[in-house]
Amino acid sequence: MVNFSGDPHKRGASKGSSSQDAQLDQLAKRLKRAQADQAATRPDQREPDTAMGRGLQMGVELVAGVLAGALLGWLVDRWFGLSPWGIIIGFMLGTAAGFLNVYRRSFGAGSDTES
Amino acid sequence: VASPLEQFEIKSIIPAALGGFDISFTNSSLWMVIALTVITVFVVGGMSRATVIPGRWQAAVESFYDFIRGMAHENIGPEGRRYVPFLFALFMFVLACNVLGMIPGSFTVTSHIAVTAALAVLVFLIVLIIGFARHGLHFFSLFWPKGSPAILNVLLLVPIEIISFVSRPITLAIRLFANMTAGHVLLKVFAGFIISLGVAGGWYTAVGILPLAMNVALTALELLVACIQAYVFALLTSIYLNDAVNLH
Repeated sequence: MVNFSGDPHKRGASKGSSSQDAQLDQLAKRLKRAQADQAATRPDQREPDTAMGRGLQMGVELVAGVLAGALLGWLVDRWFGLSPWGIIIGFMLGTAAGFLNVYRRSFGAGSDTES
Repeated sequence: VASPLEQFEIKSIIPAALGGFDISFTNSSLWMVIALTVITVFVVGGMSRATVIPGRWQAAVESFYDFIRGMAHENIGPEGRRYVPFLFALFMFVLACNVLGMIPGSFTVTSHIAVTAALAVLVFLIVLIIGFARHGLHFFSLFWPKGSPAILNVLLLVPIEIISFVSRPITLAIRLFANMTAGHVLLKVFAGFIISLGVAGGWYTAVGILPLAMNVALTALELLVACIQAYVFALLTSIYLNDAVNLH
């Protein structure tokens, strides 16, 4: 919890700091109990691990790689006048980058197996 | 029956133009302002009478903040504390827009790729700026895979790494946009079934219960998706920030 130096709690103010400590302890206990209850009743389900959800997610990763590759290739074409080689090679490298994205999302940082 | 795409139409409320650009105050702008107002009232209202032992409202605000702080610490490490305000602002804005979009008749700001792409580009630029500010030109080592021959790196792996890096804002933008758009189209399609079956009469009206039940379930699912996509947006941002902060 964040500590605030501002005005103390209404109930605790009149009774002095010792009763406030007791109140804080009680709150900590209640919080711990509530969190334990929650952990028991619902499993840690931050991202639904449905097959469709994962499929969509990986599809977006793959397509984004191809799009980024084609975009960079097209820019190279425009800047250096290499048409059509930039976009062809960019497309292929982009496909590889898409697979790299999918691999990283599956096994690397931020994947379901790690985080 | 109205088209299921009608809900995404941008209507200008106060028309305005500046230097040839249309800068009208639209329904999209309106709902962004509403989202900002809701966040401000929620956070300022909860923390204005802040006490050591939080009340219900303050505890709610703190739990949001704690959630983002934990995410930053988990993904970026101790250095992540400096980026909590940015992550918190991003998360709260996306969350508020997504959830407010669930109100019937409202406008879902995040269902437009212009909005999600702008947010994604913002994240991308901030990652670049932080990366170069902290590591200078050494930041480019992010694209240099270790343990493979240099010739292979230059010809194949570095271009792939660069493309993969550039594809990040695209992923970020498409994910949020696609999820919000698909969900809202689905809701409207089933709502259309309810009306057309309802007015058909006879047995059809009875069958109309089915899409209604479906829509009730979908609404709950979409609320979940709205929260999860806000979480995923902040999570991916923190993962990208980690690359810029801690070069590996």
